[in-house]
Amino acid sequence: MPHYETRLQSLQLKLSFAERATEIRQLAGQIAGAINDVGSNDNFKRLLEIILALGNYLNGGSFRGAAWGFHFQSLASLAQVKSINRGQTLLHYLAEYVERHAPDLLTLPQQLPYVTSACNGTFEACTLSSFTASLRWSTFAFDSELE
Amino acid sequence: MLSRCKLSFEMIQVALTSLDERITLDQVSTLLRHLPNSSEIDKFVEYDGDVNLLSKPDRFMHTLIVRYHSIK
Amino acid sequence: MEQKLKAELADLGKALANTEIDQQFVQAMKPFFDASTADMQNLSGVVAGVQSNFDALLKLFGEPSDTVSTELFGYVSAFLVDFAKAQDENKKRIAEKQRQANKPERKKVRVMRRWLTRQCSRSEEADYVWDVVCRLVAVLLKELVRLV
Repeated sequence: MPHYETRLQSLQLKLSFAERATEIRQLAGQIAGAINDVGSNDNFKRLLEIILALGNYLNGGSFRGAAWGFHFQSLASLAQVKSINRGQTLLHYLAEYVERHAPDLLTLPQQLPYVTSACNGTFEACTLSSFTASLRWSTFAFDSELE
Repeated sequence: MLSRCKLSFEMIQVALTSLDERITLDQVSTLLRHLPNSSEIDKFVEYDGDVNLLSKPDRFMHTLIVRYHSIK
Repeated sequence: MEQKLKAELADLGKALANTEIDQQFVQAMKPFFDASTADMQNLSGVVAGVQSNFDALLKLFGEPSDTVSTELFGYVSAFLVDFAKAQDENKKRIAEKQRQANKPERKKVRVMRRWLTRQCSRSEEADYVWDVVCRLVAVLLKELVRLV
């Protein structure tokens, strides 16, 4: 019954549109906030620099990697590198170091509210790639904007 | 179909004619879940007797299907 | 999410363009269609903007271009949670170390208290003042053991 079904579907759209549009807008806002947290927060950058320097010191050289020197995925490995003596990890050492030399960075989790809320599964069901076809930036030259 | 979706004729009528908030989103979803099947459609499309002799539910279904069924 | 909404709106557009559809439908739906098409365009613009900012972020950090936002922010937020946890664990470790260091001191205080209690109970004079002083000192020592 095309007309019957079409009518009902149109009505369904009419009744649900506003709420769905709001939901999308809110999610976009949250993601925009997280992008800002990660990309534009100076304290976060400082922490990343400390981690990089720590890595350099440990390795006696530099991490292999791209612009920042490592991928975010390897942040997870900080908690896995254990010290022989005290059963502590590199992450504990980092926390100690930061407390001594950059204590204002200790509250970084609270300074980055949008990213931390990603933990609550906000992004789980609705990733950016389901918004639009994921843009492939391979059309841009990789080196063009690296400092 | 009517017994399956448990909504009154009036409700369905309102939904199809007014096409606005007089019916709720839940009710519309219910209707979409219980569409008339093809045998019901055929039965009413092919009926050429006196509509007034049909039972109330059947008369309603007849109107519904004949009116909103596009014959292509 | 956005794609689906856009597609459904397009379907409505097609239905409205269908010559066979009745005027009642058109009257009820066209205003909504016009308004929400404009909304949708606006929304698509917002989403495209966020997408492009996200792509720029990936590029800035040299992350693979097909990384999905949940992945990226997932790594960062998991790290931040662990970082906060490590700070707590450090604090606890230091507190425990301090407690261990004070162990000999605490033992000394306990021994003193026990001696004092024995002295108090040996007192034959049933001297009221002495009794009160004993008890008070014993209580204070007990507190001291707890705090050290």
